[in-house]
Amino acid sequence: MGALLGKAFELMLFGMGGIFAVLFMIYLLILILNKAFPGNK
Amino acid sequence: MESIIQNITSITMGQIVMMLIGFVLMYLGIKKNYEPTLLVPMGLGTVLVNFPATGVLDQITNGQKQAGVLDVLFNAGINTELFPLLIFIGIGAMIDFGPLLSNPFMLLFGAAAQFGIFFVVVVAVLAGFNLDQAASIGVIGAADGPTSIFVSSQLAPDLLGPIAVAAYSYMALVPIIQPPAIKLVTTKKERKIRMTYKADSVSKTTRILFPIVITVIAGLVAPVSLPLIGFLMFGNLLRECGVLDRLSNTAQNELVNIVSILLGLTIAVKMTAESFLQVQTLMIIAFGLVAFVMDSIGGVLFAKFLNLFRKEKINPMIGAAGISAFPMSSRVIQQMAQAEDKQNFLLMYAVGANVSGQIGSVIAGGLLLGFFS
Repeated sequence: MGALLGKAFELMLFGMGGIFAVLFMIYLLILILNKAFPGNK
Repeated sequence: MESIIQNITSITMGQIVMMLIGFVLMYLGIKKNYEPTLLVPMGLGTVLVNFPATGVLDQITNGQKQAGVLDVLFNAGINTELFPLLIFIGIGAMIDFGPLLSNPFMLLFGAAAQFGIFFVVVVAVLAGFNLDQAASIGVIGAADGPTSIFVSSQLAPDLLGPIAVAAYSYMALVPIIQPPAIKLVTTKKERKIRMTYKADSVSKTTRILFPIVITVIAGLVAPVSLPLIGFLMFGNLLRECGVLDRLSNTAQNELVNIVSILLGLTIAVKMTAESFLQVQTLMIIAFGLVAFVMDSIGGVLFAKFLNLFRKEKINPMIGAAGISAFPMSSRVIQQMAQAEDKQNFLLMYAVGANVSGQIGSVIAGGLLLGFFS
């Protein structure tokens, strides 16, 4: 049970860390796209 | 006459209970309008698969296996992950990423509000499920039916029935689940925080490039999520490119409608008495609720955390809109804001967070699969 629980916490760290990392990358990407191709002011 | 009596007497008590569950699903869909596109076909499908000795499911006749029509559909559409992916094309075509592109900061809430998924993974492991099953149960918290089906059909196909029921039922119940969860972790003063809407207009080029670049990024950093993200973004490209309106309309309407009919009926394969009527089904349904509640709480607490460092405060309720249930969640936030202050308009921020939740939930599904691959 202890090992399984450890694995579950590992999954939590991997998952939340991964989502934040990927979405932060997308955030930066949108900033770049908006800068490169600005809309009408 | 004899064969009719034999048919009636061969129905077990478990099958009768499942048929009643099928009627309840149809009632919720038709009368209460809770996700009828899935619950109605699934309800009738549940009745269909619980009659014994029919051609609906695979059966052994005279020592030979005969293919049942729903098993054929299940093997073709869910075992291959085809149906949920096709639905993603339609969802992508329906989503306007504009509010997100003009306020990309909202993306972070789409990440924070996935917390319930991983919280429930730990809870399910504590309750005795193995890690694959726990991850499949947790993904109910993605608040995204196709993602839940996509992930659980790979990690724990035996649990697909209750997981699909829980995912779609709780999505319909977002207006009931979210307000108490949000109130639990916010003060009246916090719920009254006003946010002035500042949004730059988004160029056509950005709208077209966005789905293409996201597909490339997903392929590079989270390849397992590429089928989900790729199909979602393909649908969005149909919408935004400006030259495929016919295909975009088809994806949003005919494609989604046809696949929803097939998906709802087909999931019923897992709604047989022997696979559904177990204690673990009740646990899955309870954990699904926990996942939704913890998603909302995770999003709100993250917004409150950000407020520690910001001059211009965010209304923490926006964080709860970071789940994938679109557009219900953003509507709930707007209603709650206006219940506290009639002049508070948070809708566009909430929509931005809500759309982010759709991306976040798909990435969460991909990461879960990636962890096990």
